[in-house]
Amino acid sequence: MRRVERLNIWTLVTILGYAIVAFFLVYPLFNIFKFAFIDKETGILSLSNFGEFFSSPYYTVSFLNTLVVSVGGTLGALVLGIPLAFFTTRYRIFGKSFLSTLAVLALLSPPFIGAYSWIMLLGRNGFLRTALISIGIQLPPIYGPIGIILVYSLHYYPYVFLLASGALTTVDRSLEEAAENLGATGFRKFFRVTLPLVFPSVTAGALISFMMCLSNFDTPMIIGGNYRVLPTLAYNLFTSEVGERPGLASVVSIFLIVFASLVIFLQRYAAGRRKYSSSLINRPLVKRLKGWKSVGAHLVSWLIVALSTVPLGIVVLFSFRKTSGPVFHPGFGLESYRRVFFEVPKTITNSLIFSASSVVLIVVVGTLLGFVLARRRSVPARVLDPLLMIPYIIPGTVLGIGFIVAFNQKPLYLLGTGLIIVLAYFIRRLPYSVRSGASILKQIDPALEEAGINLGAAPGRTFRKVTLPLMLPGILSGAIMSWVTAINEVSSSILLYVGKTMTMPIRIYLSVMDGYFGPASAMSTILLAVTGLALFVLNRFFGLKKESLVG
Amino acid sequence: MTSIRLENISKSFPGVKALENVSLTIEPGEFFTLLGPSGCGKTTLLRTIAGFYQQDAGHVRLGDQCIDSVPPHRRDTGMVFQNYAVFPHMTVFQNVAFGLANRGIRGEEAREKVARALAMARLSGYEKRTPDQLSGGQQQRVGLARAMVIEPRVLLMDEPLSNLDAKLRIEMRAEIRDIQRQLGTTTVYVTHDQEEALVISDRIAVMKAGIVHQIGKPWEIYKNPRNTFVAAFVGNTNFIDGGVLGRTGVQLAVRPEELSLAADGSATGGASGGASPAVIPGVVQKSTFTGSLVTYTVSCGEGVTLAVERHRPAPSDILSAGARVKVIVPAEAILAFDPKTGERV
Repeated sequence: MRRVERLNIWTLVTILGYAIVAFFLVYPLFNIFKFAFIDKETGILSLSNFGEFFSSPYYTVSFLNTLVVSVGGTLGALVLGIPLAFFTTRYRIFGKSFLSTLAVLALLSPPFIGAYSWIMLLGRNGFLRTALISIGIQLPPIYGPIGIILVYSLHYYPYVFLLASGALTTVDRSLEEAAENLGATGFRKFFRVTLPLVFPSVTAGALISFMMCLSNFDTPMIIGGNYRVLPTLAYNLFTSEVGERPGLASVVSIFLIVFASLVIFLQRYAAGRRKYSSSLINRPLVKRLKGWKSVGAHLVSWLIVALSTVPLGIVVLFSFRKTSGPVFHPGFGLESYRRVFFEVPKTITNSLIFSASSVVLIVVVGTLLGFVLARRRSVPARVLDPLLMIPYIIPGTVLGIGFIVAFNQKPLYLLGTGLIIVLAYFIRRLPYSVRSGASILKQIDPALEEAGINLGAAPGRTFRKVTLPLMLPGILSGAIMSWVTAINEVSSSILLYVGKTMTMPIRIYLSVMDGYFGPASAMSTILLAVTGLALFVLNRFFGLKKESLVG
Repeated sequence: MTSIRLENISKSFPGVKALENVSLTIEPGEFFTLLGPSGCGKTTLLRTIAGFYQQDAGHVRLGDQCIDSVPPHRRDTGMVFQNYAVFPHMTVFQNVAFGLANRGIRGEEAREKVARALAMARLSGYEKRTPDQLSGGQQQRVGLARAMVIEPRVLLMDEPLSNLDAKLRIEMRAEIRDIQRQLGTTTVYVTHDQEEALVISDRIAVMKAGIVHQIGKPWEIYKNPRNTFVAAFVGNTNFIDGGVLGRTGVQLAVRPEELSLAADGSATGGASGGASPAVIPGVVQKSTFTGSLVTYTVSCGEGVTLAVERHRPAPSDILSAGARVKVIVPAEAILAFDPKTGERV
């Protein structure tokens, strides 16, 4: 008997997937490529934009700068993440789960909060810096590569920490015992046996960090001073008041995409190498340290986490300081909150509406597409899989540029609408939600679905009645994560917003640029509070799987 | 060649007494096996010798040296792990050379030693392989080569064969024994497999619930179990209430291979000489043929069921279920135990 491919709901979902890819990825990217490869004056295909880019050191230096801060930030993340992971998995550290929760909070908070907090501390008029000057210690202001690297290291080390801890807790205890039995201990055991065993995971953490540093826009914008990196260069070239240069901005965008693709390629390679985690018969022992060793391990662990969370604490603290305009006064007050709530309430409602709408889209589309990828092994579904991962390699700034050039004319004129921001959130998060949808499904026995269909329920009904309820906890926790990333998004919305569609992170960014740290702190505190609340709900009701944060 | 002396070793984990006052002496060059069911404390004892556990009380001595406060990496023991614990990120050569490097042995000398150890473990030519290219048995050979190349004072083996398939297990246990004989290294071997223990060991300590129940040569353990636990755990045993044979107040035990069957109605006695054997009538319930022997399950009434083994059975005399028989129990094969304490009487 011939099997007839019927038009069922999954065929429609697959078509929807292709439509999304076509409209929101291929079309904007095509426009970027068009701008990059077409000469502005003559309108013909040429490499003139690339030539212009490479002929001016003003542009090429940002190439090098991007590498410097990305490598620096990644190294910093490794230096902070590895010891923290080692100490908290191998030794009994007081407050261990509190530390890792704080690290996750630091990771989920937008990086620009860390950036401007460090400016409040060590910027030109930074409180810590002025205090140090008063006792005779001269510190240069933190603007520039040092500041960027500092913020990156302290923001992205949780990636290394989470992945390395995950690997460290699954290294077979016998391997380290065998090393000891054969006479290796301490550093030798660590560098010859333990570290090589978790190397694949550490590499993966480093590459994710590198990727994030590479595409980050807000940190160099705030703390970079005149130090230009590719994302800020693209933004400036695209929006500059003195003659926009969409061609050059597109060239920079292409470089960023190529860079990110390379990193992904490396990451795939690293992930493809054999993982050494075992079947967990022999979990590693958690040792109790004594004396100065214990003090040292605690000191290092707590210091790393403290350094990454202090900026957040500073922001909360300063949100309650008395202020008038850009100036802080001694004492505490609610002035900053009053200003936020009375002057820009629209920003808050915008943020809530945009992020909530995007989450609805993400959950529905992500789950359906996840199902298609996990269960349907038809050719169209398999081709769709890598296509849906494209947003992963497109930095937010580039997506923003792509959206602007794609949707600035009829019939798809979306500029200035809230919808375009919602769509940007949705597209940026799509690879994660599709992947998590698919991975949740892989844990559900297909026999359950077969039973449903066997008992007479159509595929769609089986999905609703059998599969979906089983997937629900995973979907909900994914939804919360998506919401957190959406409400903290800056790098594409900064290009897409207009006055009436301004969101909280953008308002914070603008206030910081204008020197209004009070209202910025108040709004950041609100963002931090909702992020923390989401994290708490996730942890309390779904059992936060920290490894899931790193994709 | 080093002796191992364990003196009054006790070790508790939260909620469990893993070892209770264990004392034993292992002679230089001896192949000594710790045998017992899972959770009996045998692995704990081995890991205490290796230094991975610190005993709560008692002392561990290697030769004349008390090693209680020597950290594991200086104890100079070579351990073979149950799950091989071959470093997955190193080649076979690097794995075996690892312990040598830690002892400052590198270069040509290390290469020679590694080559010799690999030859002994029948792994010559595998130097450049990585563990994922090896079978389980080969990985365990690497574990063995790695442990012996450092010429440790004692070899410690923690159920090294339990992850291998049955055929390989039998092959490897002979190899391990051969290698140990060649090296003459004092070896402590942990297993839950009583047959393996009987085959491989010079002496065996049978353990249960953290207590050593009996120490002896394999045949002593088998022929003269000190209590019902040892009798039941090592080999197969028929337990019979003393009343059945007219000896009230004792628990009797007899090995299946000591019993023989006679057709119902035939004359009995005299076969084994000495004291006259007891005879219990019964009905064959089933017969299990395993090649070299056939095992009968004989129901003798009053809830008594006996296993009887007959070696090299001829096809003509294999009994089928339902056959009426007499079970002949030679008097000297009967072991008597105190039913309350389980000790031999």
